[in-house]
Amino acid sequence: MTHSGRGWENFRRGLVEPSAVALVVAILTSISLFGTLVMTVDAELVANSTPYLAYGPHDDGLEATAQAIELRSIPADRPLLAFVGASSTRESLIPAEDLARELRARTGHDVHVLDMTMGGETGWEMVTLAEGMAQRDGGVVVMGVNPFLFLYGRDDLADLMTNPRIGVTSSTIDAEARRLGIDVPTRTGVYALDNRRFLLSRFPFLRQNLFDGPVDHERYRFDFDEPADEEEWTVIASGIDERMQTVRTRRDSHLGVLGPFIERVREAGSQVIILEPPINPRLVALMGQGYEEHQTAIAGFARSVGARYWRLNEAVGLTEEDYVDYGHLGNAAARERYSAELLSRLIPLIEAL
Amino acid sequence: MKRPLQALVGQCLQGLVLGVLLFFALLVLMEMHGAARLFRYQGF
Repeated sequence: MTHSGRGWENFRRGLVEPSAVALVVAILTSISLFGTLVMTVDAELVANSTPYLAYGPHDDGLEATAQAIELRSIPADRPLLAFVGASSTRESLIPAEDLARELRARTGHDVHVLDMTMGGETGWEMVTLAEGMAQRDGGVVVMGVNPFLFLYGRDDLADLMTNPRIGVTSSTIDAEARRLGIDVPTRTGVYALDNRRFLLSRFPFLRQNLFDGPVDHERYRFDFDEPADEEEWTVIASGIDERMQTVRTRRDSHLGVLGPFIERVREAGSQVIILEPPINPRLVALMGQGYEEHQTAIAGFARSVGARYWRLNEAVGLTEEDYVDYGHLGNAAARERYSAELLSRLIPLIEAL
Repeated sequence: MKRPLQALVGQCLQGLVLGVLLFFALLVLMEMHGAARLFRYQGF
């Protein structure tokens, strides 16, 4: 065999035969690639890549994540208005850019408006998303709080710890989970590791969106949904007493989390509004005494933590016809009326910032 | 015995290819077992 032939044979054998060198290089290579991925996928990259990570145009969890990340980086001298809440709050608001335009026209301030509402948003998620408000001054945060927010229990928080819908974490909520005896995933301070389960859930959609093209976010609207029929109302009515009993039992536990958070936000220099989102008068009637109890409890809570409690439904004059079901406004006109009333109350607060 | 340079290059190349494959295999495994599933919510 020639000298060159021997060289190729050595190379071929090195390439295909098992060896300690190949094993070490393989392990080091995979560790390096993994480390590079972890360090590259940071909060900013995720916030800027939502069109590629979204499971569809209504991926509210991802959009709220991007807004929460943005909230944590907005300069403190810029006035800020943030919304958190579930779908009833989301359906009562005109788009954030329209709110910002209206505020600019009426106050002259360039207000940054963040809409972090999403379907079924829990109080724990509200605190997690709005956590940035406790680290800045010069803002107003509006929290939509309806009675059904208090339906969630310990098992739901345990589920959210394992299956987060949002890609941000909160030390406050981690502490609450530990208090309830729930295992909290290891927190490292490294974004990709701390939010790994959220990010991994988006991997299939990342692959799909890279091939099919980016997905633009759209706010889900109930406007074109079928209105609730009598059968649905019968189901709601049959379970309402049990639900209100759960609300009563769990309310204090939730307020025990919201209270210290609101106090921290206020101490940092921002205002907190607890908003009673639109609720169908027919559901209010079904709740009976329970709804009044709820309002009394929230009013007392708001006073104790120095927050404002706004109930706009009567002032806006919402009627059963404005709703598509038990708690979602179903037309643009009602949404505009509600948002206009809300804005008229927010403007003096924004001007005072 | 002294290892020929060509064999060392071959071994490193094998390690690199295996390392990349191992990385993607780990990612697939993590995605299968570590991804969050949909949270079932009840509020509104």
